[in-house]
Amino acid sequence: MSARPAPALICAGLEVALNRYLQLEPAALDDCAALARHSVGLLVDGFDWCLFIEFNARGVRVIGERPQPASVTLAGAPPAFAGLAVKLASGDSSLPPGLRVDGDADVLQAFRRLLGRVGFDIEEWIAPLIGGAAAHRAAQGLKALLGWGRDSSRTLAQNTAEYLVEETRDLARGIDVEEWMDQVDRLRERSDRIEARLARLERQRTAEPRSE
Amino acid sequence: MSHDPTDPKSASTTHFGFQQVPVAEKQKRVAEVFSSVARRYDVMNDLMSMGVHRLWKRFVIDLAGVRPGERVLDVAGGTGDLTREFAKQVGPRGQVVLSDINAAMLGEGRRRLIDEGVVGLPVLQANAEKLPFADRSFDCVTIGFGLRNVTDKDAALRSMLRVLKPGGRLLVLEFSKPLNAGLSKIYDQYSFKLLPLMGRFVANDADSYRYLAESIRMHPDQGTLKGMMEAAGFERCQVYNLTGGIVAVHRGFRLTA
Ligand SMILES: C[S@@+](CC[C@H](N)C(=O)[O-])C[C@H]1O[C@@H](n2cnc3c(N)ncnc32)[C@H](O)[C@@H]1O
Repeated sequence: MSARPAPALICAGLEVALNRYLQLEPAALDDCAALARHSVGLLVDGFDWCLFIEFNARGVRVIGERPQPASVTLAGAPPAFAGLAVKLASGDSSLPPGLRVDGDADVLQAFRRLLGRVGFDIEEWIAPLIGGAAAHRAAQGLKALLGWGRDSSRTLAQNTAEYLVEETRDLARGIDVEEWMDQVDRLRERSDRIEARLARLERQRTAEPRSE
Repeated sequence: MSHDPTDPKSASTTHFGFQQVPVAEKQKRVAEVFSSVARRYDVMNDLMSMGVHRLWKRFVIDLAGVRPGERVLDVAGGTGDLTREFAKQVGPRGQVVLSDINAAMLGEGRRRLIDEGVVGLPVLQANAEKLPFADRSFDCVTIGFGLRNVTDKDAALRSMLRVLKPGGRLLVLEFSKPLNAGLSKIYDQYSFKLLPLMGRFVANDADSYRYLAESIRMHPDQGTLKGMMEAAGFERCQVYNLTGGIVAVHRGFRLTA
């Protein structure tokens, strides 16, 4: 099965959010500049999406297509990415189970260090997802996925949430989006499993000494 | 490619809305439209898009990700909506240039910027096809609802590429092709019937608004514009459909020096 480019608005959301984090930390931008010739590919199983993170001195660019393959590709189901994010947020740079890595391990290591450095708090992103309260199906799907619109997220712009809410409402008429929303629903159904995994990681985090 | 009405060498006429006019005349006609709507442009903008244009612009601003210290050029900037936001973001070390081919629109833009306390930024009358700036002098170039009015769009894309620094980006915000046939039909009704009517009541100028509706329909669709950007030399071109494709943002980068 070959992956398709992730929806452009998902790429845009991830890019805008990542750049907001990176900008808070000038040293992180130096790291981005150092990675300038490299890229990280993400393959999201289930959705069959691919996206690419490219680096430059201003931060990152997230796109759905790229003429050349990425320096390193991470593949897995959404819960595995959530697991990775939780580990990063807790300063643990080991890979969670279920993530496949293909390519330059040094680039991946540098990318993980970079995210660790800015305190990229993806729990903030996925908490609404696993919290599971569903309001407007379309709007909340996207908001929850990206974690926008939470009161606590100071770093993520409310404005951004505003247009995404508007956009998803309108876009929900499109066939593409119908399909995509079904996928979001399926993702939500898997939230029990994410929750269990998070609880397990949480226990490990407190019980075990950190492995670097 | 077959007959390209925007290429002045392949044809002596081009479209002005749904009419064919001599190439040399399009620019003049477009100028008349915008001189005529300048004073009520902002009110009409809100009415026409029912306020959604603010969200579309917000998306462009976020996606542009302008940083303190950067140089930004707003082409066909008209009354300066994008310029104003970018001016806040570039800070005192950066610079935003507001440019437009039309003096009446620029006058409105300058007045509004001053009203809102944005002072001291350069305002320059310029044709997008032949931008009067040095090569590689901007980090970011934007053109919001402007490209469809430009006679030679390929020349404008090349010109905008030329003034970008390597690594710099162009963002094109423009009406596009609705992705869904149902939406497309509703939208047609709205833009061909309602728009000129509103134009008549609010701006006393149905013809200008009819032109706006027609020019939207004549503008290249998402795939075509992306291809034109790539042909001009932009890389990593990506299309972001908003409001079901009624508008689209195209972004491309100048990667090579
Ligand atoms: C619909 S207005 C958009 C104004 C503003 N960017 C906005 O989004 O509200 C289109 C503008 O394009 C300008 N324009 C038309 N042809 C142009 C050209 N060849 N070069 C530069 N600007 C042009 C018009 O004068 C007009 O101000």
